[in-house]
Amino acid sequence: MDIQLTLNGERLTWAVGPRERLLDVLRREGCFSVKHGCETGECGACAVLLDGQLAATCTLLAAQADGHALETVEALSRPGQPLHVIQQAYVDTGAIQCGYCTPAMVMATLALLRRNPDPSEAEARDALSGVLCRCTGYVKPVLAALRAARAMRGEALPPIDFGQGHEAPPGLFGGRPGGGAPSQADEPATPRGDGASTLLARVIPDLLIRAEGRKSVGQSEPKKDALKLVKGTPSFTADMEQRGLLHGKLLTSPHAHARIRHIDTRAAEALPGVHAVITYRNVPRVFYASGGQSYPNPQPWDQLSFDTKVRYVGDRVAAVAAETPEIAQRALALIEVDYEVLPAVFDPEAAMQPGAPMVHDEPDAIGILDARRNLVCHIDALVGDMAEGFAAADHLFAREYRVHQVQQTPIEPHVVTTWWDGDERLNVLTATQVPFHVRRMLAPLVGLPARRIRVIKPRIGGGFGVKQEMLIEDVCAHLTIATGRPVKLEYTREEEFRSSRSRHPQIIRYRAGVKNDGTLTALDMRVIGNTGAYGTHGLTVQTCTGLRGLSTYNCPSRRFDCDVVYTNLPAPGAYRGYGAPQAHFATESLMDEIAAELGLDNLELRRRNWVKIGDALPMGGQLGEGAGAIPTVLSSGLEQCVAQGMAAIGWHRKFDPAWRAAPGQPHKRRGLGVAICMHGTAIPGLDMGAASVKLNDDGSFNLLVGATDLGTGSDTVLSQIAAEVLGVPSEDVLIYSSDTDLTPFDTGAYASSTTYISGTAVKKACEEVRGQIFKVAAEILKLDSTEGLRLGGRQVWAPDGQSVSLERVALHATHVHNQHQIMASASYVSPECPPPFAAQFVEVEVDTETGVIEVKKIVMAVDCGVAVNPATASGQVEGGMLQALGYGLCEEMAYDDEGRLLTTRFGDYRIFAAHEMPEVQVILVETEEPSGPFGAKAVAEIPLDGAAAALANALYDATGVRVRQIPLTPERVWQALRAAEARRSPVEESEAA
Amino acid sequence: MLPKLTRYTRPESLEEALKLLREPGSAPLAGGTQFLAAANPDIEQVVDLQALDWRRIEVAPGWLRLGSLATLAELAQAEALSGPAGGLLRQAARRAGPNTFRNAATLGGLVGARLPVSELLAALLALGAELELAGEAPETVALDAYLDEPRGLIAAVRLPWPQAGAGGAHAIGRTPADTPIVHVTAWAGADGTRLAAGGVGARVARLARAEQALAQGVEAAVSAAAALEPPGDFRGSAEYRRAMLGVLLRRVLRDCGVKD
Repeated sequence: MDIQLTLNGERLTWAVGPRERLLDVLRREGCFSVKHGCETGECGACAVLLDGQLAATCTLLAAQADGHALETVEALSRPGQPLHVIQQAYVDTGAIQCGYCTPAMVMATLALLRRNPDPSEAEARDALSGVLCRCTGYVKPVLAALRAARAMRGEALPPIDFGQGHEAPPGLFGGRPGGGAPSQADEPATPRGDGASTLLARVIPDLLIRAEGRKSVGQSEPKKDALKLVKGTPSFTADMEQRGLLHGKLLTSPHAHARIRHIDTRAAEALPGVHAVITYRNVPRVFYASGGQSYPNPQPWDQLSFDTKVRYVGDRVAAVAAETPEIAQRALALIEVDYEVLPAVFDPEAAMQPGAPMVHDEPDAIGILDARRNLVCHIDALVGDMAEGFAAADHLFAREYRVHQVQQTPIEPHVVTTWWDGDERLNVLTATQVPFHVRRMLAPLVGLPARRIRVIKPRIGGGFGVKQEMLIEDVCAHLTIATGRPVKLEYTREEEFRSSRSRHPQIIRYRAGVKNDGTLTALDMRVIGNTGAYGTHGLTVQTCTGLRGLSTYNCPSRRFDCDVVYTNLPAPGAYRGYGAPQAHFATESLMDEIAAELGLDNLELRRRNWVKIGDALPMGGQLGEGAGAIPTVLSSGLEQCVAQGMAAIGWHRKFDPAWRAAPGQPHKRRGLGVAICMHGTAIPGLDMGAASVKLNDDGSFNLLVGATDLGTGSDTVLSQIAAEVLGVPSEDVLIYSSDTDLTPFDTGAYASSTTYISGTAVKKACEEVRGQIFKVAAEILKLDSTEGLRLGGRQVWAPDGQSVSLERVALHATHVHNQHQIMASASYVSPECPPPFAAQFVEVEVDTETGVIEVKKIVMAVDCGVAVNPATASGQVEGGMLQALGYGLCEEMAYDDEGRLLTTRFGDYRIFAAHEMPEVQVILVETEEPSGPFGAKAVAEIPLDGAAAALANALYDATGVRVRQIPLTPERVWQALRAAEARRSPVEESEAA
Repeated sequence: MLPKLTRYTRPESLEEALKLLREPGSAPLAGGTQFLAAANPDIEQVVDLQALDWRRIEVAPGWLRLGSLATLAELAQAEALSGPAGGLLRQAARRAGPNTFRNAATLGGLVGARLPVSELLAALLALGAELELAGEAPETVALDAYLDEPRGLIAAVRLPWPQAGAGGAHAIGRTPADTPIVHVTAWAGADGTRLAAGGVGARVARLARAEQALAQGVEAAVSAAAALEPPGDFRGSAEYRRAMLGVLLRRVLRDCGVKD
């Protein structure tokens, strides 16, 4: 049927099918700013303006739009035109991270400002409530909307304060702040502004940072990819079109555990439009581990592209390539599978018992520790002597904590396109964090030498670890090999929930020995990690749990003992934080429990034990892929983080009974909670990044990096590092990242490594290029040596004040004399793993009748070393805290008794939306890390670590009730409150019963 | 995926709509928020009602008439919805979902979906809403009767108007804007107090026994409500829902000024 509509002011007639969704038609017609994130209208990435109102297009039939007017972000600024003021506001405020939902947010803002030129913050939040964002925590998008409102009203725009940095108040640095004592003098370092211009507070202790006169490093420069993201220009995997494209679709298991007796694909193959059906019968049996990790991939290698057995509901059974997604879907229904359903096991402790169902009974899997007991691996580590440690203690504590399974949920689902290029090399365009690992891991599965595979990473719509896997690339590649055609395989949201990766659930049992004064003498950590159906990141995530659980605090005797166990649940994998959020929930809950029991101040207890500059991190020598040398803390702003966080949250109120009871609401209790966080920066001795830098003949530079920007802004940060060394504005640095044919190697975007590892590689390569530039400049300036030359303002400056432009140096080198290409590459692998530190604070109000925890405010003060770009660094913390809040409060993968996932759509799997976020405040406490590029260390993962424990501690502070399992759902809290009530009044309880 | 869907129609008149809807495999379509997400595989024809003049919100003597194609966003902003009763409705419409949902979802679609949880349905029940059903023999049925036994095509929702009284609505969710685990709405008007709740049964429903028991006081109403057997799911167990029903009942009754 034909529909007539107005799109961005143009009257159009389109032929559409009766069941086509508006989303699909818009994308087919070239509106690539309209993104697919789900099928239920709940993520809002596909939202456009329909007759001026924001509407999700995945729940509209195209035919419904007949006769209506649509507007998309493409209308706001055509290619080559300046940005619309709303777009400019999004760029200027740093509101764009992965950019996948940015076009929808921009349109939501436009709809708001047309009807309300002067919106309040609450109105701005409501306007954005239909667009879920996993990156930003909505802090900067809301700011962008309010700033755009000012601009559209014609008001002068104040400069955006990304925290220009101020010196620490006297006594804060090196000295001891107020400690746990109540103090009315807790004043935030930088008071919050009117919300329209002040973004974050920064504390820069080391005046050297500015004394050096840095031009680019330390500046909140706009993102390098902001233009294409804010204009919605085709940039993501699904936006790239291929002629003759086929659509792939996976058939997955309806059973948690079953053997495939027989599979009949004839009817599916006979369906017109179907080009291939692949199963275990026509795909080679090659074992692998899907986790995107360095060579050799940690064992077990217990996965196959397709197997004769399925191990969780959602496990792969077959795949189809067909002319349309719909034909592929119909073909799946025609595949007949005869399953022998097997008993399944979901509880990791039951899985270890004799007689439990064996998840991996295939004899040819490689490297499973004890398949009969479903044991993937065992991890242990010991420092000191446990018996001595416990003997030295005055108090013993034994506590069990439980953490659950949550999902990364980037708004862009997994998506990959594969095709043969003219040289008959397999091209893989994929939303991945690990393009180089994907090429190496894919080659044996598809039977091609790696040199015949090219992996290209375009813009990525968020990853958070779930794309640190070779999750579906092999399926798509098999389909291209089977058909000779380009194939796209894109997960639906339901598939993303059912058949991707998640965070490992764990049972964590701590035993601690403590002296009367709170000094730790022994910490014994026993962990059971549930890695679901496959090993993938099972070993390494659980290893990190031990490392992170046993490193924050000094203690003479420490032991880690961990079993990683198979069950018939979807396999967890890498999720931002990587074992640390689990460990921190347990450790930081335990520290509060110890403090409460011993009557000590909970911060004073931590301070007594936490690691300080110069302290060794002995577990680092035993736990971790790069294990070996024992790292030492070289920089720490933890003391300052605590002081700043206390001030920002108003910690003194904790000691004010009048504040703790909500007036007029006797069932409400208020409380404050804290957690200390320490993370790592990259995997020492293993993570490697490389960069190449080339001087162009106009004086600009091409910077090629293997580092994989998945929306975090690493391209921007790396460009700033290059610009700083090369003395140019970063617009002169043309960065291109992650293409296995074009860029040097990088392990990928994980382990909080990019700024530190890849950044150092960029810095080294640029320094090498700088040396080459100096030689040519000396020749031009007729100097005897390059000594004393420096770069700045696109010039090479001699000590005597002469200068020569980079353009002239470049032209000279390429055209005039001794012609050569000024170019260098460099790699970096670090022996160090400098920990970033943070203090996480939350304020809650607990409804004791319902168990509902209302989070009023969440504050994190982070020492990430020098923030190369404070806007992107604080954006990492803001978005990370949103995920951490979800972990602690509401996100949970829930299953029925048969192992079927119940939370397969947004809404059921609840992530925070813009209009329900608490107040979020980020403080960057910058230190200078001696081993980092320009003093930087990591910031990416630490925001995930503390919120869950801080919430549990705040709940305790408010109510006196300790909950040792997350998420802290209303019912879980209510049950705990009720149980505590019953303990307090056993007589009344028995009477009532 | 709607594999059998082959016909999209947009009737200009009610007669035409009803004729099309009588054809096998036909389904009415309003905002689409549930239609495509639910993707009923048996549907062969959608009858898009958008051309019908069913969007108006109007006050007539004694009545407030809400066209079934009015969106929740329109309800949330409607000036006709004045006073405490209007406030109860507007708040419920605003809380029904994020703006994308409110802009698309219609009142008739929401009623027709008979959701187990909906504060707007509860508010309508508490305010004594009736439905104008279109068909060969147009009829008016009480909303609760329709929810028990749906039939016909909803043209409008009608409420006695204006209503003097006081209302209250409380909900519990995992986050402030989450689909509620349990919610309760009360309206204490001239003809007594009506109570409605969601998350405690297969559908949003009046709490008839609690209403009757209210004559004996708030605690009697709470006890009567405790006889319900709510379903349990990942959001909350049956036990929790039952307990919360009591907690929220007390709160909404306090908001309405109903004394023990």
